[in-house]
Amino acid sequence: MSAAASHRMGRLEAWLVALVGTTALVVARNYPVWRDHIYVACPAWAILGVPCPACGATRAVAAVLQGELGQAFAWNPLGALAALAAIVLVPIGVAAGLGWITRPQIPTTLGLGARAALIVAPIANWAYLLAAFEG
Amino acid sequence: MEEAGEVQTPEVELPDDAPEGLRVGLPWERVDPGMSPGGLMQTLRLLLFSPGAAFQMMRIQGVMSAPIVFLVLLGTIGTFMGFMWQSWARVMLGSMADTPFRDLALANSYGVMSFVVAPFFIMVMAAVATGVHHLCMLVFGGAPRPADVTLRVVCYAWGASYVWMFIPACGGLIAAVWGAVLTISGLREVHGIPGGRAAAAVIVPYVVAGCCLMLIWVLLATTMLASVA
Repeated sequence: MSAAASHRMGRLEAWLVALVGTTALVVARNYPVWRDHIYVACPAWAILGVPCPACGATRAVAAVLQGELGQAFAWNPLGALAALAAIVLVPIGVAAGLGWITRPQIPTTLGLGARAALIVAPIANWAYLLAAFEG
Repeated sequence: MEEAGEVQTPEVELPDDAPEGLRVGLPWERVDPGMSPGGLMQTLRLLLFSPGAAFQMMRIQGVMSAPIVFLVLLGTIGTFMGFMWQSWARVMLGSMADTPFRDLALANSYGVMSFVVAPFFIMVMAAVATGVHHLCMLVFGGAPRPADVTLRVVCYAWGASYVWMFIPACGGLIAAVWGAVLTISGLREVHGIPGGRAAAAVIVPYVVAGCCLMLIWVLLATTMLASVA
């Protein structure tokens, strides 16, 4: 593939990501899944009555997109954080793909604190879910 | 004369940190044969039987269309094959157990729905797996190349593994194991990290998921025992 064709494809890919992201945002804003009770129950919760580490994440993402941050963090704190990160990072990625901004440098190594946080955060999140959804 | 369909391999051994200019690209990524049936077969052969060489020549920059189309194409075909074997087994077992036709048809219609959403589901799962593997590499000592390179590895490794879904009964299991092995090989070759770190980045998430499931069972058993007592 020539450099010009590759550049055109790169821009097309960025526009596609922007289109999919915008569609997801519009659908989620206008269709609050957790209020209509149309969601797939987590097998761990449905069968065992115990929340899995990702329980409530879909509802948390939907709540973030509805602008209800408190409710989102109540459903699943890590899910809410992931949704907020996506809202910030996807437009940056699209802008970088279109050449409007320089591509941000993502660290290739992490310090001990950050690595520990990456391990502790999911554990703490699950502990919160187990306590919050007990019974 | 060169044999038709012969896989083009690089003449020089490329270093792990080879810049984009030295990577010839997989046949699927090149201008010739490119995204064609020939390019697909050559790339599949390379990935399945010479994964080290394949990931050494895989492009690490440029557009993402080639790896994503590779994954979605083979993933959809593989899902269709898996759905077909599943339906066949359901009908065979159902006829032996005198299951009503309506129940069998309903169960198979769920399979058709899963086949329809397969392309989207495969892309989402690949994105999630990329995030998990990349974060694990960062936790275990660092990921020298950006996350989109990890996504390329996941796309090619998973895409090639879906071929095993053509085998009935145990195809899914073989595909899962083969996919993990290819992903480990790809991360090692492309990121230039030790094999142990690549293996940890791929295997640890599965181990953690298994541990979570066991913990859920323990919690449930404890709750049930407490209610009985």
